Amino acid sequence: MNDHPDLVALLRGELSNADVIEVADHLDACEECRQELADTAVGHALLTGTTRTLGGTRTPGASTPVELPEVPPLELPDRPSGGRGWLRPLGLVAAAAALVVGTVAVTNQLDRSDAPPTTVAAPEQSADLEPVEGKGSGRVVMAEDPNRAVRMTVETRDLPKTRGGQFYYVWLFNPATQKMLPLGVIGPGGTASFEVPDSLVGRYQVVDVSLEDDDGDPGHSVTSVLRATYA
Amino acid sequence: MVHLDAADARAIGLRFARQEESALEEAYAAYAPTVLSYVSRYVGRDEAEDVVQRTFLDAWRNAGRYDPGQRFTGWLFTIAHRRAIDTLRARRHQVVDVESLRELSGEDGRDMVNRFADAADVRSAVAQLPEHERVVVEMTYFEDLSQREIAERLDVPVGTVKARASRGTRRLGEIIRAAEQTTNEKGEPR
Repeated sequence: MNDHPDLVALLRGELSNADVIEVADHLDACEECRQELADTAVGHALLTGTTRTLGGTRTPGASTPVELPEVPPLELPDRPSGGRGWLRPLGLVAAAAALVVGTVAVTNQLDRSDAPPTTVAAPEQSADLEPVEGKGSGRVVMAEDPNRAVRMTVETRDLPKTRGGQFYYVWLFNPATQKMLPLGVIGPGGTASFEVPDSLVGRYQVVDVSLEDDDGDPGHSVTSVLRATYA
Repeated sequence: MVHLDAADARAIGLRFARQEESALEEAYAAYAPTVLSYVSRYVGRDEAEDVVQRTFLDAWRNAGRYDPGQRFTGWLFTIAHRRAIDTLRARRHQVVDVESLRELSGEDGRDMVNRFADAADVRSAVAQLPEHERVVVEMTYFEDLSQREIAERLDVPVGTVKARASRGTRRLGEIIRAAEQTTNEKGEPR
């Protein structure tokens, strides 16, 4: 081994014992190769860790061929008027972005002491919010709005006070598809009102109140505290 | 040392946060296979594709809440983690593997999210290597082939394989290092 040694082969254990010793002797005398070994070891460690994670093996050094699965094309829901469950493949993302804005553009009026509570005229439907675990209760009242929308008023009672960095959040939930629609923040004992397009209300059956951490994660925390079935 | 621009490594997250349409497509292409590998581990292959779809739709719907100072893959795999838990909880009348639930929740679950986020970052970095280096690195580490086997498959001298493996491995470290430095410069903890 007169040239600079094969450091990838060294790190991967592909060399014979004699070659490993020869590389060691070479490294003693070659600053350039020592630096290269340090750089190569970084990449080797990253790749070996990845192989272990994706290959599912827990034994260091026991590499398993990694073949990532094929994924189907991403499908985005189209406009609500297109009918429930109508999906289309990724590509027309601009239209989908507009849809996303449309579907989550619910108005949220948090109850404040200086603002009068929302007046709900002619309620058509109501349901009690029951605690999933622990204490708390509440009520959901849904009233039709002239603009093909449903005014959904959610009232919570006796929920535990949140710690710093936590808050309660209202969702619509479809148990069959597991889809969730975020509505907005609500207090532990307060009222919040959301105006939701009626085409969306029919796609969900459950109102869910969750306890969330302010961690930047947009998804449901999986800590549901209250639920009501309205359909 | 090989110096690379970190723009490619961080671009998807930044553009995703700005809700640029092409970012969703690129994020899906870059990370969906690893997300699928992750969720399959818990919910099984049959339901995993659906969980992957819901993960990306959730992420896109809430792209405005993503902080570009945060590692994008960490955020994405946290969403995947929660959607996987939703799926297991919905199986009221089915047997759920206790080991899967244990691994998915608590410290082990967080550790696994970070490990898969790391793996996704490395896979993405490998994809940025020059083609001739990428092929050799993938064959070496992901197909577990020896240098002689790779030389035979590619019909090139073993010395060429050694050189490409060496350069590719070192370059990969530089790509990840550049991406890490970019994240740290934004002052956000991982």
